[in-house]
Amino acid sequence: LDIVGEIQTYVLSEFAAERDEIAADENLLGQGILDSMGILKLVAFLEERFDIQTDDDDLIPENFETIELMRAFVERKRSR
Amino acid sequence: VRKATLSRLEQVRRRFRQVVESVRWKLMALASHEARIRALRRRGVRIGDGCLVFTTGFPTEPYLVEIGEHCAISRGTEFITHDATGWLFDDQPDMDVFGPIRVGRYVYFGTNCTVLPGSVIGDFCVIGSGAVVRGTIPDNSVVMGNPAKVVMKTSLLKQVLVNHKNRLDTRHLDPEAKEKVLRRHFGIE
Repeated sequence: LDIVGEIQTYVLSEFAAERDEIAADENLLGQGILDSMGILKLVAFLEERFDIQTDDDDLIPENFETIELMRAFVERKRSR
Repeated sequence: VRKATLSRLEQVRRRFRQVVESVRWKLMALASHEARIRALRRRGVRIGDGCLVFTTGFPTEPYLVEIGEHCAISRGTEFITHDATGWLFDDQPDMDVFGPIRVGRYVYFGTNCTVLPGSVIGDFCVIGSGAVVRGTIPDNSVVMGNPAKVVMKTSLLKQVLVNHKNRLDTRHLDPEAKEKVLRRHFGIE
């Protein structure tokens, strides 16, 4: 699985078990799929799975609204 | 003997004043927010307008606490402006260490937070229930835990709340109308 696929699988299993699929450009915050505890779990998952370290200033909507934005965020972090 | 008696009397008088002040302060839990804020200001807390104060957890040095406008402080939250552990050391009978606390504007404290001496909390922050704050919390931060750590920016929390499936705009409703809305939403007969 690529980064998008891995995040999709995680989001589906943890936060949207009633759905079969989730698009990479779906707004997870806008649809209420992620709540505040969900974001904490998701950040922990991204850090562990992709071996990145998030800074306080990374924890903004622009990095977590969609799976595609999360992929870009992970790649930016990995390239540093 | 007379001198000792007078000294004892003065101690009793001082203790009585402390007890009266403590009871008065505890009774403030029953007062309105405005009355509580007036009382806090009388005691020396520098607190801005529009705050909601549900706690009586202010320190013995209230004049070392500064709170900006539009802050909400839930019950059980404690502001501590001194480190009294010096009491352990017999050779330093008079020692205390102090630290002022500064809280910015638009800060929300959940229940049972502890704010330790010298803490500085920025504007537009959320302090999660039970958090123990020490040091500097930057503007626009949501913090949790002991020691409190930034878990997200407040702007991200806002997005989550605005779109939450259990968001119900009930603040303007009276208790009966609110109960109806909540029962309907959660399917409670």
